[in-house]
Amino acid sequence: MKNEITANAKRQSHRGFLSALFNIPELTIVLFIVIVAIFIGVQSNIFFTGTNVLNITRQIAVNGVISIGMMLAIIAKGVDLSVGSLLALVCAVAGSLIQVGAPAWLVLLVSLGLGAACGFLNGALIVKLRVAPIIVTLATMNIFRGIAYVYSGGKWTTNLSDDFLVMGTGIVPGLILAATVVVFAVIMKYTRFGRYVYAIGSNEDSARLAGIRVDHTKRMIFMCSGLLSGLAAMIFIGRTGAIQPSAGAGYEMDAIGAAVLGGVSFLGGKGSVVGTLLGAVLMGLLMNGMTLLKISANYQGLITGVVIILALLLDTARTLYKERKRQ
Amino acid sequence: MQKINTQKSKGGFKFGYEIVLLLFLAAWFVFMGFANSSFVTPNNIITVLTRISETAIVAIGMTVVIIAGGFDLSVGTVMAIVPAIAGICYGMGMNFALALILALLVAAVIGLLNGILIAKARFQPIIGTLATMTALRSIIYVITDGRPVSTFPDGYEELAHGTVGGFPIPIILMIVVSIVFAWIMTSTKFGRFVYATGGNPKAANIAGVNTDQITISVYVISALLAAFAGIIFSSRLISASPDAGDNTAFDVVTAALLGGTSIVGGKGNIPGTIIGVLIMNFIINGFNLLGINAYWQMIFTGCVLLVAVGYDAKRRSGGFKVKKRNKAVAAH
Repeated sequence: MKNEITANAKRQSHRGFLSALFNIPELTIVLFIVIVAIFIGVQSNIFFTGTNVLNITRQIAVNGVISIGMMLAIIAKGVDLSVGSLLALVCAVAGSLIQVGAPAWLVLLVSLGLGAACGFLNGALIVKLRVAPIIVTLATMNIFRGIAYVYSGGKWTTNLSDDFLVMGTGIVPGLILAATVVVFAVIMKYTRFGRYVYAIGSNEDSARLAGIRVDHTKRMIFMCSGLLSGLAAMIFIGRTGAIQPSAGAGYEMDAIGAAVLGGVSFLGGKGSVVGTLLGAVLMGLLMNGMTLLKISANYQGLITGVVIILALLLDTARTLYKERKRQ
Repeated sequence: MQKINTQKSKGGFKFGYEIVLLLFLAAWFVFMGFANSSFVTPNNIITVLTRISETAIVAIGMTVVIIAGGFDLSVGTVMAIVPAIAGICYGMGMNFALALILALLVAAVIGLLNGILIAKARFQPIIGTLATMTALRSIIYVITDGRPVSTFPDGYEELAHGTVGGFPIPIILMIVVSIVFAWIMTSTKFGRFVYATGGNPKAANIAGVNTDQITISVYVISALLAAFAGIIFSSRLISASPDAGDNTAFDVVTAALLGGTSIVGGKGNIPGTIIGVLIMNFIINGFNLLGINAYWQMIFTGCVLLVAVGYDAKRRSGGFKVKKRNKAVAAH
């Protein structure tokens, strides 16, 4: 009898751990981060040095900032595929401003404004055409990239003054990312806009019936995503010290990867800023580990793709598990 | 059963829209005839038709996938990986026929993987195939080391450059594939099931269609057609470049949607897609002859895609009344 009880209790606690793993995506990902960090740390002795940690925050910053915008779009049951191209477009315009000697604050302002305007255009097209965000942003992804090439004539800009490199050196990228995370964590949790985003993602029709201005909120979501791409472009320029129209190719995949790893579900209505940040950290650790372990950069896409597929499988498993539990 | 019938009639050859597209193409020919003397020449037209045969073959596969309610962004990478594998195997001393079969098998496995991820693991088609696309492109760079593969047997270029009875082989292949798939989509059980799956998967399932199986098979078909196109493409240059097919997925999606295929599935046809491919490529060819920067083509293609999906959405929202009437009929 006693044995049975302990066995039962054991099973219960076992189930508790499992369900915690399944129900709290942040917990799963922290576990993964620890495992990956230990693995790389054992293989490479410079992994746990201060310089490398700073390096990682710099690497994460661009993807982290973009993936928060991506998270907003995915929570509202959309996705923004244009982020990488928009980054390139903002870079091209910023580059031309820098060449004519514009002051840093003006470049920053124009970049953020341009990002927000292009994002707003995405949102407006989605609302106006009544077409899925994924298709609209697939089209604007190519349009923005094309404009970036036409505008810059395919040329690179290098030899930037130190003013423009500030945003990509030292702890600045990490601070920008931290500030973005805090701001959006507050927005998602404590503002009407944040709650509307979740509501639209959970059930757009009910949200509309409940009096939420769905169209307006959608435009705002994509505007935020564009704004964050503009901000990421500034970090990108500072970090690489060069501006090229091919910048940001494939960044939408990294951002989607960070978001789904962090537990943002493509079914909509679910996900958190902290989870997304953790997802970006894990993606950054994998890329950093590849560099440290001297794995060819050719494998980068393979790892991103496989990680995303695994994260999505986990999400599906999570949904199925919940469905089964409910039954 | 009634549901399937309505889906079929919706998917049939819509005469009006295709005529408008053809008129547009004719207008473009007239305009270009005045603007540039080398556009409306048999030489230029044959060259463009030969070049677009791969795009058209991939677009046919994409049309089938979109009609089934899916999306396949991995076609460009399949186009690149298949000839690369065949070339590498041949370079290592394998029989070329065997190498080709092996490469086609790889394509089928990729299609199967896409299909299973989307049908069984419930991935969103665009996200699932975007992930496989990213992974595959990286695999191509790993196996080719980033260099073009050029170990192909003598006479391989005949596939792209040869002629039968005066017609270039790629054009003949394009026409054959179009006719076969136009027939499959309109006149076979499989074709009707594809329309049913895309139109209303739940209803199709209740009517006895194994929608998962249909979904998986359309991705296999798409991958195999992309593989076929990749082989033709590599035979033109006698080289398999690791970045081949970079923009193919986007171009063929645009052509298919321009040709009247609905992005939500259940509607579209092969002739429309072929007309879409013709329009896109003759316009881009005209741009080239007029000396318009190649980067403008990306912007132009993106805008065409937006217009096509916007028009499709308009048409769909206009069709709501019909749907309601159908529902009312079903309720009685």
